[in-house]
Amino acid sequence: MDYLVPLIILAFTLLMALLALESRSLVYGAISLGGFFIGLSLFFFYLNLYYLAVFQLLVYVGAISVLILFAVMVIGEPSEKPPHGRLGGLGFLGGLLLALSAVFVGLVLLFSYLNVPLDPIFNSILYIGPIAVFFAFVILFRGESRHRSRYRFRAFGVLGASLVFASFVGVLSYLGSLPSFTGGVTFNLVDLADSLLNQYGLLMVVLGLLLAAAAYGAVALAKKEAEEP
Amino acid sequence: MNELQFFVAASVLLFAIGVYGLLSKKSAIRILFSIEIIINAASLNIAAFARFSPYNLGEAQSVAIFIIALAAAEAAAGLALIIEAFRLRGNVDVDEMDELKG
Repeated sequence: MDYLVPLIILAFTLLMALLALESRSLVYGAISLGGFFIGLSLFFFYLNLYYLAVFQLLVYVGAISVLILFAVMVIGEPSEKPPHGRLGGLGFLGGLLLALSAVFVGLVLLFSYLNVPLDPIFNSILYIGPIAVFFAFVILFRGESRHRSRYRFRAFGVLGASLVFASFVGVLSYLGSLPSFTGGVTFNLVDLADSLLNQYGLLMVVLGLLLAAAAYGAVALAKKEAEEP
Repeated sequence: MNELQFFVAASVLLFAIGVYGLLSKKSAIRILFSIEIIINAASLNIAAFARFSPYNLGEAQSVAIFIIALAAAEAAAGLALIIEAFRLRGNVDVDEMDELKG
């Protein structure tokens, strides 16, 4: 049963990677790619590489996902028929909530089976779940029917963001409540700093220059040409 | 199966998904997604080997952090190229980008 936690993370990550490539809408694909990055950082948390995991969250989930979403916004959906599921609107939201609660129940069952402390899950649910659902419904029902789809999108945004936040809180308190993972290797921040600044110092500087060049090139490529009079 | 094998297997699976997307997708943005997936699989591989080898974790993490920074640069430049291609042609279908074909 040692493999259950990494197996769950692996299933989540594989699912998100497949969704990123196969979902019909490009926006959902980009969001799934963000989920894939989160799964990777969960892997890093599991491997005790905390600094790398936080770095992954910051750079990939925080920066690259948003960048990709902006690019998708500029490009727009592909011209083929836009997808619409069989469940529209509120039905879909209800289904989503039902699925989420099923997932939470499953997690509670699983964790109690594994003799893992249940506090993290309850922390996440109690602190974040009701607030998020409340705000989502307020936003959903405040919208006029004409702009319903936009408000629905915002509601999904609130739900998704709070879900990510809840899972983050859960993972953090889960990690805090664990004695230690397998193996005796401990992570020392001093080692990382030494290796980044002393051993690979020159590489670090070159990388900074490369990043600056990439940012400059990206801006130069994507800048709108001035209108010729 | 020890834990290192598990993580190498996970990394191989993710890499396979990335290669599948790289070969089968027509939209340039999806191809960029696939490249990101491949890079992340490689980074997971390095992290797993770092975790289960007797060296210190700082050094291995710095290699993975370099990978992340390089991927960020690649994503920025790639997205700018895609936007420019979209502005020139009106779509991002890589099958139609054949101007360099002799």
